[in-house]
Amino acid sequence: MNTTLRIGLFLTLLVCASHTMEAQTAVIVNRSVPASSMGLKELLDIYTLNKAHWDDGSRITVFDLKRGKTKEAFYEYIDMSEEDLQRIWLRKQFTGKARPPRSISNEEELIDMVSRTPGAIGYVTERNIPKKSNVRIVARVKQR
Amino acid sequence: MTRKRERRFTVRQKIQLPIILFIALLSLFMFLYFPYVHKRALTDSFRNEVHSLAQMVANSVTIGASNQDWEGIRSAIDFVRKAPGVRFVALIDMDGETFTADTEDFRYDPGYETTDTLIVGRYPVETDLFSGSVVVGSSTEFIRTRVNKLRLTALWVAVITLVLGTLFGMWVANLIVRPLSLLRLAAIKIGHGDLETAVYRTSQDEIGDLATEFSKMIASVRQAQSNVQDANAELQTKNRLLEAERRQLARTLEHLKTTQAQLVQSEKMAALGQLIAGIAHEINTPLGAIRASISNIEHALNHTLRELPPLLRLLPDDTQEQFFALVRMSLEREISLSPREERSRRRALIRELEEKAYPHADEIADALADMSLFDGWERFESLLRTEHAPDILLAASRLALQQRNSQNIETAVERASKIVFALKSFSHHDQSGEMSRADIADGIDTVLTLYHNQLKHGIEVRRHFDPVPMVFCYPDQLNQVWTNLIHNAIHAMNNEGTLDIEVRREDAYATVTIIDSGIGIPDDIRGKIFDPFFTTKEAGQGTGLGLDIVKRIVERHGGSIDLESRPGRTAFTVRIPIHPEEAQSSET
Repeated sequence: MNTTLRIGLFLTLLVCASHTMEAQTAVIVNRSVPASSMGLKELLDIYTLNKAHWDDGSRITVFDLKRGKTKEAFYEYIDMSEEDLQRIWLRKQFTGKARPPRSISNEEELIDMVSRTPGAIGYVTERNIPKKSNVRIVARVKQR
Repeated sequence: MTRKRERRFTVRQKIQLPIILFIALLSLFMFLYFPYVHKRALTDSFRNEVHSLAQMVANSVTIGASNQDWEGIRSAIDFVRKAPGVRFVALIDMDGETFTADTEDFRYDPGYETTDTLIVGRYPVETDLFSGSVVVGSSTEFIRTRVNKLRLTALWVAVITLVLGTLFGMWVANLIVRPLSLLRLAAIKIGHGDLETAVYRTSQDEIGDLATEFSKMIASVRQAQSNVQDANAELQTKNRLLEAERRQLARTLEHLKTTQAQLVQSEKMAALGQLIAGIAHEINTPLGAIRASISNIEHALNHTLRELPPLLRLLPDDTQEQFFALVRMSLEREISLSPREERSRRRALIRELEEKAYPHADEIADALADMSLFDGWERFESLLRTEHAPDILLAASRLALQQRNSQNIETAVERASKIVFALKSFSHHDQSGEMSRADIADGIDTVLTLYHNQLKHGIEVRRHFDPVPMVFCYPDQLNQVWTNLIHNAIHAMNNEGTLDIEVRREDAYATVTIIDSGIGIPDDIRGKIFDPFFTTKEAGQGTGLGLDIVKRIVERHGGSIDLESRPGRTAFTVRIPIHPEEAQSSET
């Protein structure tokens, strides 16, 4: 049953990819997050781990992609180099104030993790987001 | 080291103290050394551990950064942070900027190194992403706690060791000292004279040997003491015997003294006995003279009473005067002439009277001679030329004769009383035993008086008496000395010769030398003459005690007697100290 589900999901993604030529990067959050949209400043605060809690006090869990065009587009958007951000993250771990970000290899897994982690935030290619999912898009970044 | 230490260590203390001291030092060492070593070991290992922690974090950073595994880094940091004692985990970049959750104002300093309370571990991180180092700081608090715990344990161990060691020291000391104490108590008892104290062998070591030897020694001492007691008892018996003998001797001596005094007296009386015939004769002579004188006086008185009154009546008054003057003149004459001289002067008187043609010259001369009027009679010429001159002169001579015979009686009485006095003083026996002052010359004269009868017939006595002070002496005993010496001298001269008696003073001594012209004392008996019972007289004539007594008496006076003898001259010289102190000092 699980295998058939996976095959079905793969087919759906394949259809979507061929369907849209110009991909778009979307910032997603778990549905428990009390925010509908986010500006660049807020995103930067969250991804530099300066903001650790949502407005309702729940903890923010940052997800990151290990590589890929989506990641590049997002970093460009928040105007941070990968090195700088990672350096910040490293330092922040020693101050112990923020949760460590979780770098995920592929977008599907990232979406799955965000949908299952309360207070999670991440970014993916928009068309990879399944129709019925426990995530919400709070910002969109154009991909070149 | 002038003062003796008031408190010495006992043997027990001398054994106990080093043991206890040693164990105390050991305990102190344990108490100090083990925690110190433990602390060092702990610190070393903990430093390594902290270093490992830093390395672990650094590794996680290196790996996590390349894998983008932030959670791994975080969990490593959290793990290290929760490790015991860890105070901080910090990241230091090249610029020295420090990131740490644990101390707000923590800034890493390169000189920031391990201190007493903090151990710092540092490990470098070199990745593409980051260059710097990870620093882990850990408190040594837990080490201190551990060390304190160990110290407490060590203290307990030290205390227990000390207690056990002290007990051990006391036990060992007791083990050694107890037999010694027993020995010492035994020695003290023995020292106080309790020789019955038993000494038991309490151990099989040197002290045990000592106890055995000590027992032997006590046995020896006991034996020796018993010997000494026996010897003492014997000595006491002998002492008692000696004391008894001493008393016996003292009694004998006392008896001898009495005997000696009696002997002196009896010797004196013996001498007196020998003299007494002569003395009787000596007394008889004056008695005869007295008797004759009384007869003369009686005869003369009868004639005078019958013839003087008619004669006086015949004389004229002036001639009476001359008669009495003639009688007075005759009485005043004290000329004593030898019979021969008297005869010659009488003849000369007859011649003179005949020349002057006195009638009855013979008769007148006899009368004048009887009155010792050999001269001075010329003034009575008128009286002598009267018709009755012979009668007158006869009467006058009878008056003078009475007077002269009275004088003779007086002389004879003096002579007799002198002898009696000499006898009395010679035979006197002084019982008081005390010395008195006496004239030595008087004593010698007394003896000479008693010996007068023996001396007068053939011995010329020459007295050379210098004035000598009175001598403090026993006069009777000195008289005995003179008696014996003079008696011996007379005997030695065989009643013919010269007896010189000299009394002189030589310094503090009165010296009496009695020299006879006798045969002398032969050399071979000269050393023996002062021995008692030595005599040269025939048996029954002498006691042999004379010179012995002389010597004793002279020595009792603190004096000396010397003898010098050759044929024709034998001199005994007796020296008697004049002053009593010298006599007493030399007598004792």
